[in-house]
Amino acid sequence: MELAQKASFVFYAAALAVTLAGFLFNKEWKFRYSALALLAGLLCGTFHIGARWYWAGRAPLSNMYESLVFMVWAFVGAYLLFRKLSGRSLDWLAPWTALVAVLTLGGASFFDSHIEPLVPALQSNWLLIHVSTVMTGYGALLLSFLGAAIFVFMKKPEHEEKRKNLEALVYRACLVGFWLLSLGIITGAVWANSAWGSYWSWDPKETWSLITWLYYAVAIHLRRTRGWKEKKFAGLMLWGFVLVMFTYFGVNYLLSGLHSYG
Amino acid sequence: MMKLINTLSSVRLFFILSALMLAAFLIGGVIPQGEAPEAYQEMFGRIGGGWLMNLRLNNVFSSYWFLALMAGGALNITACTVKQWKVLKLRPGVFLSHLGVLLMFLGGGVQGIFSVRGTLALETGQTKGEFAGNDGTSVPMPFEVSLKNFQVRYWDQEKHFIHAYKKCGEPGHDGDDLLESVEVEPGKDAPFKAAGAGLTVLKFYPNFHLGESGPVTMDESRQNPALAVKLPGSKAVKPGYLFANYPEAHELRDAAGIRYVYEYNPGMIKQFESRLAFLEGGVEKFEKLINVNSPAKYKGYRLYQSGYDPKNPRFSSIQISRDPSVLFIYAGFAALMIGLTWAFWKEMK
Repeated sequence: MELAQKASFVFYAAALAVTLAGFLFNKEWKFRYSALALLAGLLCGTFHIGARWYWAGRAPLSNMYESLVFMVWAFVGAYLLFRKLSGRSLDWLAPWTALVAVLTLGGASFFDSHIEPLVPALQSNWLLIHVSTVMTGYGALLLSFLGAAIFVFMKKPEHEEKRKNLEALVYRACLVGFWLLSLGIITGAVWANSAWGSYWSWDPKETWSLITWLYYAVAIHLRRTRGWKEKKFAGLMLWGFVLVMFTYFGVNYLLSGLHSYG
Repeated sequence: MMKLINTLSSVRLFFILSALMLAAFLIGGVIPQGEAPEAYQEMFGRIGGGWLMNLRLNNVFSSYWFLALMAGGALNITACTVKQWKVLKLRPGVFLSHLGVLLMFLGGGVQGIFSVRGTLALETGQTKGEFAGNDGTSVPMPFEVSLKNFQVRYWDQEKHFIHAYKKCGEPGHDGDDLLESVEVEPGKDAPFKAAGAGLTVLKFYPNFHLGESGPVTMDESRQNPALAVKLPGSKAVKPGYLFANYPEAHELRDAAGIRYVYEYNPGMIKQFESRLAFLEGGVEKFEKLINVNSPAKYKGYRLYQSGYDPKNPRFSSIQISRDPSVLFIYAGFAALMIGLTWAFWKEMK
């Protein structure tokens, strides 16, 4: 099980190394093989999550380590899906995706990876539905953030085609992320109502999720009604992900509430 | 009329209200909510704490200014939905998602006016026909609830550890060094391997109390866990006692100067559950076992297992709610998700 996780990390690192080697030797194949290494890493990650699920007897989504590993899996999966849908015009984004995956998995290794039994509040099928939806949403919003960060620095005229594709990716990943975030908040509310008799308690995690949701809703409205595209929209996505990160990490460590176990 | 609808449905108003809502959420998300006045005075000083409470920033989400802001949001989205009715065929997804949010606002209003919520505190064998509402009032129920049994289940059994310390030999340092820690069982010798360390655990007292006839356990609650132990070579007739809650107050050393400290580990809770009987006019209608994530429903009321008292194994805390807003909220959730799916799918294509 841990071997699969390490293999996943090695493949993501290899995706970076392949691109670097390709640049050094001026090879055309560098991005294609980088994407292939990402796919191999994703498959190993899938095996790791599946094996952990089997051994724990429950979905591996109950603590920081498990949710981070799942988020990286969703992030890489989202990139590969968008790459496929965009006719491989986003091949060049593979090493950047790999870099984020390597850094995030490296960060995950600082958290306790032991399989622990679930506290009573988490013993529900809603754990799988709610957390997987939210973390996949975060993965899509991370992709939007990555695209936005690169977009801001991509200024050369010869990169116009890339900028166009990237801009589309930033917006589409934002839409997917926002849709999943909406579903995640809703499934969380339904779960809370079935566990505590209240679908909304203004718990810090709930409040910050709502802040994030409203921010992205405003960003989408600004784009659709005020024409905030390209650099302006990229800026919105950069700040939006800061909110996502605070909702994910900041609330857990700085504010206490109903989600303290997460 | 159309002019009013146009003003209320304007995107500019949406942006203004959203900015204000974000600010309100941020305030409510950063400042701890619902604390005692003294806590705010400690955090922000006497004047700052006073201002904070005057502006209701200590209870943002139930303050009048926040409710007014929510009402503004509801008006904005109502006007927007009415306006979009005309272009329903062109943008059904946008219409539905706005309708979903509107239903949620409506649900929030219904909850504020009609929902009843509170806590039912019961001990085993006790029957109650009313509960303590969240506003402090006593709320009668159209039935009675009796707690037949309450049980806490653990993933693993409770464990007892004894740590052996010996005096630090370094000059100028009068503290103790940890020699060895072992898990022990009542009725058996502690399996110490370190030379000189050793004792026999005679008995476990879950809630130690010194009665007239000597040490007894008050009940099965783990309020004051203690172990009766016998040190090797000790000629004392009475055993020594180790207290998990007071490791320093009752020091126990053997002839070799080794000090023993008791640690009680209650085990990780798997589930806590109450067996409830529902009665009407003293006649039992049915029985239901509830636990966290599995409530009981009766006559529009839902009863949720919410807490227990580690010091009182007979006590169970049950949340009660009767909330007619759930229908609106869930309809809003459905409309929002269908609307977003419809709108985004068109856009993604």
